[in-house]
Formats: sequence, C-alpha cells, structure tokens
Amino acid sequence: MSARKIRQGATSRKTSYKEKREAWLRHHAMVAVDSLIQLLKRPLSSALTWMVIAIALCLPSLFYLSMLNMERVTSGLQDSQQISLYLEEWVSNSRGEELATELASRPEISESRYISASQGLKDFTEFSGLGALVEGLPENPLPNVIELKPNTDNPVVIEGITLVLKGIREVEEVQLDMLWVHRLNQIGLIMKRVAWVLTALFALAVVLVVGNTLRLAIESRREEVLVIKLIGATNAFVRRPFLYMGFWYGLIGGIAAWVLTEVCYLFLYDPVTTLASSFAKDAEFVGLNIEGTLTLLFGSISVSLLGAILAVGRHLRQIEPR
Amino acid sequence: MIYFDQVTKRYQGGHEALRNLSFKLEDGQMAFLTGHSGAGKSTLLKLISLIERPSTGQIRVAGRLLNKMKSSHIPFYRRRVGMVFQDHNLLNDRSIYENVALPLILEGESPKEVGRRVRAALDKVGLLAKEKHKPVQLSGGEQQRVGIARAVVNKPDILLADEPTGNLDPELSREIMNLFAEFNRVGTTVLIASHDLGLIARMPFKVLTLRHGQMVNSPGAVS
Repeated sequence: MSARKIRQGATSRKTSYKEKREAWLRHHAMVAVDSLIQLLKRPLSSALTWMVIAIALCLPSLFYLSMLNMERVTSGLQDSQQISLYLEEWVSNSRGEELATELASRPEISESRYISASQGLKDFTEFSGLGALVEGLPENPLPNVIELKPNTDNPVVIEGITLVLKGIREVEEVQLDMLWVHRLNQIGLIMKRVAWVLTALFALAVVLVVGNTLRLAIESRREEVLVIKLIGATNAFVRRPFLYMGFWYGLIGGIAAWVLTEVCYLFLYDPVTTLASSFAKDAEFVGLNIEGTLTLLFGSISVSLLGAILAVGRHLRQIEPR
Repeated sequence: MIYFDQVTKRYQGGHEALRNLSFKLEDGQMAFLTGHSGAGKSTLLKLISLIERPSTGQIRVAGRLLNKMKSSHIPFYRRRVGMVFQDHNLLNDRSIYENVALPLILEGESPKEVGRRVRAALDKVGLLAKEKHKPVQLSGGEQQRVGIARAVVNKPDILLADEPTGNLDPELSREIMNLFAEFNRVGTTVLIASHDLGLIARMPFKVLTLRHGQMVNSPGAVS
C-alpha cells in the first residue's frame, strides 16, 4: 500500500450523521447476535440460568393464574346477595310456600323461592354426585328453606332485613350467603398480597442470578475488556454485549417460564375444571392469555436487564487499564 | 506531536517514576525511548495513553492537553493513538481480521470500508493470507505484526510501541522495526520504548534515554 492510499483512507474518515447512525444500528444488531452466539457456545451453563429464570417466574405466574380463576368464580357470586331462611321443623310445605309468597310481596324483597326439604335433598344429590351416601341416610337431614333476594346491596339495610326476618315465628335461622362470599373475597385479597410478595422475591432472585452470571462473564472476559478499552472503546461499547446477554437471558428465560407455566396448566386442567364446575356451572380453568404472556415476557426481560445493568455497572468500572 | 513540560509522576506510596521531565517529539518524527527497567519508560507511555495522569506538569499530545481531559473523552483520544504492546494484546477468540477491524468498528465505519482498510493494513504487514486465522495459530512475530496492523488501521496521529520486539529474535526484531520506520516515512509520529540498544543504534532515529525518571541528554532529545 502506498502513501497516497493511506491519505485516501484518512479523508474518508469524515462520516455523516446518517452513516454514524446506521453504523450504530448495525453494531447493535451485530452485538445482539454475537452475544446470543456467546451464550449458545456454553449451552449447559446458559441452559441452567434459563431454567432458574423459568422456575423463578413460573411460580408467580401460576399464582397469578389461580387468582385470576378464583376471581372469575367469585365475581359470579358477588351479585348473589342471597338470604336463606331455615324454617322450623313443624312448618308444613303449604305454610312454607305461603310464607314465601307473603315475603315476596314486601317492598324490600325482590324475589323469593321456597325449597322443600325433599327438593333440597334432590338438588344436593344431583349436584354433589353423592347419591349413594344420601340413600343411606335414615331420614332427610335438611330443613325447608326459603331463599330471598333483597332489593338492595346496602349491607346495613340487609342487616336490618335480617333482623326482621329473624322475628318471624316459622323461621329458625337466617343465613346471609353474602357473608361467605365476603370471606372468600378476604381470602382472595390475602392471596393477592402473598402473590405480590412472592413475585417481588422471585424477581429479586432473577436479578441476582442474572447479575451473578454476568459478573462471571465479565470476569472471564477481563483481558478482552482491558484491550478494547486501550484501543479506545467507550464504556457504552464495552457494556453493550453484556447488556444484550442480560436481554437474551430474560427473553429466553421468559419463554421457558411460559412453557413451564403452560405445562403446569395442562397438568392441572382436568382436576381444577372438575373442582370449579362443582361451584359454578360451565366454570373453566383459564390459562395465560396474550396479555398475561406478554407481561411475563416483558417482566422477565426487564428483570434480567436490571440484573445485567447492576452487574455491568459495578464490575466494568473496576476493570481499567493499569 | 508529543510535548512534555516539567512532568512529574509520583505513585501512591511516594515512588517518583518521572521527575521534572521535559521533551518534545515533532509531528512526523520517530524516536526510541530507552533506559533500564525502572527508569520510567512504562510510566511515560502510560501517561501518553492516559492510563495514568501526571502529578504535576503539562502533557500535550496531537494538539490535546492531557492533564485535564475528561474520562469520557479518553476513548476518543485513544483512537488517535495507535498502541502496540509487548505481549500483543490480541483477542484470542477472534480472527486476525476481526482483531484488526476493532478500531474501525469502534469508529462506526461501514462494513465495506472496514473490509477495505483491514485488508490494506494486513497487506502492509504481509499477513493478508492469514486473515481468517486465530492469533494462537500465528508465530510471535506474526502476532506482533497483527498488533501493528491493528494500531495503524485507523490512521492514528501517533504510534506508540512498548517493547514491541521484546520477545522476538534479532531477525524478526529488525523486520518489525523496519515496519515502524515505513509507517513513519508516510507521516506517522512514532515513539518506541525498547531496550534493544544494538538494534536502535543501527537505525537513524532520535533516541531518548531515561535514567531515574529523568531524560539524559542525547542529540536533539531535550527541548
């Protein structure tokens, strides 16, 4: 190569903004692919990290699924603010029906239904599938029942209605079905809190795992980092491959977490659906929808990137040419 | 141009590696830096490549004042200073081509331009045929030539070399030194730290000798 050629090279160094931007994007694409290749070159250790991420994120997403389904079941129950009147033993069927009609005519009651003890037993046998057990009973243990729907949602008013109903001579006991819905909701709230705590803890675990993995990666490429810093690499340039590694850990770990969640979902589908349908007709165990899946992937990527950023920020600063 | 004015470098613990050092290397000049080990050669090179900062005094390289240069500007400055190391400092998991391409990729050159200039640089050091090899497949002399190709590929203002022939036999050493001389002939300022006095004496370049952190008078060395 002659001197003339060298000068030519020197003048062509003036690159435009557009060219710089293109070069920047090209470099990002190159580093992204390169860092994935780096991970795949160590399949065992990368796979282990991916599995750890998958397991750590699968647990909260299963928790999320169970809450989602519980909410679906209980939201159907929410509007059934039903009052059950258990009648005294001596009340006859005809008196019971009469009472039901009477109550329905009251302004605060919107609906009433009389269920005789024998009807109740029949319904129970059908619903529970415990026919044989019921047949073995010496006598019908169920009382006659009137089911009422109040005209209002206001718990105070309903409380008042309950007191009035308790005063009726034929009524042995008044049961507010709302009460156990309320309790169920409370349990749901606690579960939600637990789910948040678990999610936070598992996310922290992923941050630590990815952070530690990248710390080792940085340590093993210490010489390389020193060399390219001496040649004139900016901190951003040095950081980039490691951040992309964090991205790949997150993306592939997230996909693995999704697969794991789906496997668990399919494994649980039959028993859960059976159980759910005993509470409500055509209840279904729903899996992760698009939104849930995207949240899982996005969460996995952000948490891994966070781990990468922390590790890279901490450890690359310590690697300076001496 | 390299310009040192009353530069002192004191390390933590009090050791004074350089004391009131002043010298000047004009644009396009080539010089050897010699001295016993511990005389301050490495420190001087570290100051020029901004691995270390001077305790007192001023350093000006290629028109830039190094004393107060911000850390964020150092990478861009280093791209203007080509460095060759005794132990080559090549990336062993990358091909020769990729090693030489690194400075150009840092600059954001297009792949076409990178290809053109990497091949030109490899051609210059006579290793065009081995661009796909890994550094370990090359001899010590060849690896050093790759190091030189990487140092010159983005046409730096200054070429620095720290004992570039330290591990080579006399024949190869002469070849390497001639290579530096060729780059100097096309206008690059070159500063080579070396203790190979026999070789230096046979070359027509200025010699800067360090002793106990100070410049010993040698023809044309002290400004």
